[in-house]
Amino acid sequence: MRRWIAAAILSLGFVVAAGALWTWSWLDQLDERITRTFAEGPWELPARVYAAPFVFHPGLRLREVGFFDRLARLGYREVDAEPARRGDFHRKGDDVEVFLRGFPYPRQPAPQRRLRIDVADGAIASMIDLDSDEEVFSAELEPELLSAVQRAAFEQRRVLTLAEVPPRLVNAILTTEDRRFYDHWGIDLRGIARAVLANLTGGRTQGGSTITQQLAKNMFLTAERSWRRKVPEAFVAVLLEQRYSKNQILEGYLNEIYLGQDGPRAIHGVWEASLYYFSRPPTELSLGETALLAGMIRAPNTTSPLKRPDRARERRDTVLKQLAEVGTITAAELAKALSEPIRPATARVAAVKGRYFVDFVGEEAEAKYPDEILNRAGYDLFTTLDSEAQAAAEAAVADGLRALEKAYPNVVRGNDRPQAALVALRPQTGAVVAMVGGRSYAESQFNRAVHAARQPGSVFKPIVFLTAFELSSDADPITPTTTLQDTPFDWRYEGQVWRPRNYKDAYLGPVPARRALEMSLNSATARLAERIGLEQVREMARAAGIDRELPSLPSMTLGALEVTPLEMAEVYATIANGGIHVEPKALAKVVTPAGELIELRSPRVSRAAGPQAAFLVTHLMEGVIDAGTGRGVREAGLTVPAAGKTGTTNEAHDAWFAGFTPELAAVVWVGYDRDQALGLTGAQAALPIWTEFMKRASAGKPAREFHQPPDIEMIEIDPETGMRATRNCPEKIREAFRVGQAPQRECELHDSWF
Amino acid sequence: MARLRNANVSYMIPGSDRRGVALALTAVLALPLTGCPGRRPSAPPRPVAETPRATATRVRTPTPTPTAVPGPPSVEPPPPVKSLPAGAPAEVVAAARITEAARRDLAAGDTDRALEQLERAVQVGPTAPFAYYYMAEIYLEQGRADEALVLAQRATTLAGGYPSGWAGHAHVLRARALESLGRGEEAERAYRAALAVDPNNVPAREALGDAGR
Repeated sequence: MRRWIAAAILSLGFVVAAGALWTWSWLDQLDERITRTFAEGPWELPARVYAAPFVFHPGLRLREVGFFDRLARLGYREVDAEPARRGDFHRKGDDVEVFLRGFPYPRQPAPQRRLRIDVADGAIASMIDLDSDEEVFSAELEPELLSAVQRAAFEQRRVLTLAEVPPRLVNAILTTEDRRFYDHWGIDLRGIARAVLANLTGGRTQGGSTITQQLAKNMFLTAERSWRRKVPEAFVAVLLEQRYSKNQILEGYLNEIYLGQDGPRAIHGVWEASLYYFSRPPTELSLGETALLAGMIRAPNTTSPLKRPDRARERRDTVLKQLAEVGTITAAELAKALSEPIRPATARVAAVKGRYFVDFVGEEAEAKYPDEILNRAGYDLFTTLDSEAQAAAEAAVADGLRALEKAYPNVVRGNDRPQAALVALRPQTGAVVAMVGGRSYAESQFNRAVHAARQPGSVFKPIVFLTAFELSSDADPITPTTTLQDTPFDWRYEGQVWRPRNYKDAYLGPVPARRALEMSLNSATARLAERIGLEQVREMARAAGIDRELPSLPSMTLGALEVTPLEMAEVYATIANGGIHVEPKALAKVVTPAGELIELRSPRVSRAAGPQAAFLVTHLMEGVIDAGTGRGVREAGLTVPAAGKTGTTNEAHDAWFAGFTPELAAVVWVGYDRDQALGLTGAQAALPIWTEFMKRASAGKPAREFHQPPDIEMIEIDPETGMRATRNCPEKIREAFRVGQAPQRECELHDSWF
Repeated sequence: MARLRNANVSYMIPGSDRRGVALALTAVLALPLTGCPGRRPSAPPRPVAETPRATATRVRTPTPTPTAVPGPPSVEPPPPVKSLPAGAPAEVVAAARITEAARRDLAAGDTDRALEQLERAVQVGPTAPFAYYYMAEIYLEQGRADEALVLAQRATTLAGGYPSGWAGHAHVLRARALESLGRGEEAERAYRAALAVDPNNVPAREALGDAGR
């Protein structure tokens, strides 16, 4: 009997011990799960990646530079009186008054300021700081956040720290949701008791759920239904409270709380909700809007100001009265807030994506830092991207490929459709302002702008002319009027024999150098290259931006090598920048979670050619666009001074267009990923995309001619003879020469008139 | 997970020596205009015979005309905003203003901020020489002499049309970059080029000494 009892007790103890052990390990698992979910929580996003701030100054045409589009993307709101709140702007006839938000850059924050922009004929005439009444000569809009790094579903999402949420909003939420938040330990027994009592006595139902419980529910329980069945939220809430401070829990809650639906998209967190419902960040909400946002947490969809303005007003007023009751706001504030109208949000504008660009930034960052900062939350990456130029690039590539496939249906071959890449640089600083790496990032993340090395064909030719003009001397001058023989010939080089062939085997005989480039004549260009030497051309190509092993073959001078669109863009930027190569950069500065600046890159410059040689080749390339193979650029309506060059490789595998204005260099490539002929020229396939991009990206800025360096003179020439024009010459062109290298003789052909 | 940001953050760039630049700038500013005791301008300044050769102008907007009148002895380039010719394009004015802000940052010892501003000035008004000049000066101070040379050269190319002091000082900066690259002969030629455009350029006269005559 005793033994039996002992055995029973022992087994019971065993069962209890096993149960305890099981509970312990279960708890441990749950705790680990909570810790992990909280640490990597659904609100944790990778680094914030910003476009460059937009700098504006007198002379810019407001609409054309995309000023209002930029304001819309930044969530500025148009008001019909003087802007009183950050993020407001007001149009007064043509003039604009804007309350700039400023931006908290580390150590040197851009201050908020009220600005009046006086506009005359569409352009900024002057700007006045409305607070100091002083004239302002340049100002900036805060940088736009690129959405590319953020998960598609959370496009507008941004993780706020508690310090970034206005205290008024936090107070309102605590007042409506959980007044004893700082006193309870996860669950509020008094609250529950009150709720039960209210239910029993048939009083009004009150929520007994604490903020911690709501967070637990949002974080763990709705996402995974099995967990919801197994784990009471109160249990998770208590564990959360053990692990984390009140402020951490509150911060998580503010970023995570469900606040309604935008179609299929769930809106989470006060940042996203504030933008969605009120078109402004939480810090800019009025008291009424703050109260409504806090009040909406209970039933976001039925109290939405967009769907149910009447119910929204009711809910707002209730919350406002509660706030007055607990003494958070004064009676005067209450009265004022109650009289606010429920204003609908202005239309939201999608952020610029720049997905390929963001990948490129990530590569640049990875190359510099041991760990990948792009995917780590808390880092701020400030890039060189211009949001309007990027929008222009994305549209130009998409529209251009669509138009191409419509005009030439045979380019769509089953699953093979033409790809395209575009990259644009600021010649003077090397800033990458736009980048598109393919037709669809969703389909292929391979960034062709940076990683696809293809034959450049004739877009390489300007390097030959740049080299020639650089080497030109008074004793042996090479000028735009130098005669080149455009006839078949054999180029013998280190035992090789190479015979360049012209397009369609058409040869023009003796032509001036200008014509050789304008009409992209292979034979004439190869003869020029032979004259100056292959090694010289290779050296120039490297100095101008093609930093790779170059083939030692004469055919290289006509583009028989492989380069990426980015490298080609560097070359054209070098020419645009008076012969100075600037290393391209996408990342301007990096700020750590602690607010420390760890990276700031000033331009890295090196000399490739002198300003005179660069100017001469630019002058020829202006001719390509005005009268040569690139005429389509003018026909498509680009009116600003521009220089460029078409490129089509053998059998038309790759189609290129590369060119620049004084302030922007861009390259477009069109072709297939697989090795097959596109069957179209650069002028047909790439030029239209380039032109559309340049039209929009250079719009609204003063159109300046290319800067003419010293020691260049412009002389009137008879185009037929290449001699100085006389008044008898029927046609005259103005040609550029290095001082001392212009033809001295006057044209004799048109001399004897009688 | 909490990332409460520290509002008081430090701003650290390894390898940059902003104090050096500030000191250099202060030193230049502190140099009395009548400095160099004992050396009075013995040779009368030659009149500027050569104006920049950019004769034919392609520029549609009003181009500034070169100022040929020699000013007082100059130890540093004139302030950008005061160097603007009448009718200077709006973006050049804006660039000059931003460059002024950069000079203030530099004087306050903040090289990083100055560089950021200068890059902005270059972006806003790429044909104004001012920002390239100061960028070259910072680069030279940071030991990036070859890059300083490229930018100083650029400044000389763009200086036509601004008071001759600009071209003169850009040549001097070019000469200093060449000196620090050990290219003495070219440096001397650069100093001579400075005097050719601006006979009152004090650093060039000092550098050339008797050879300057």
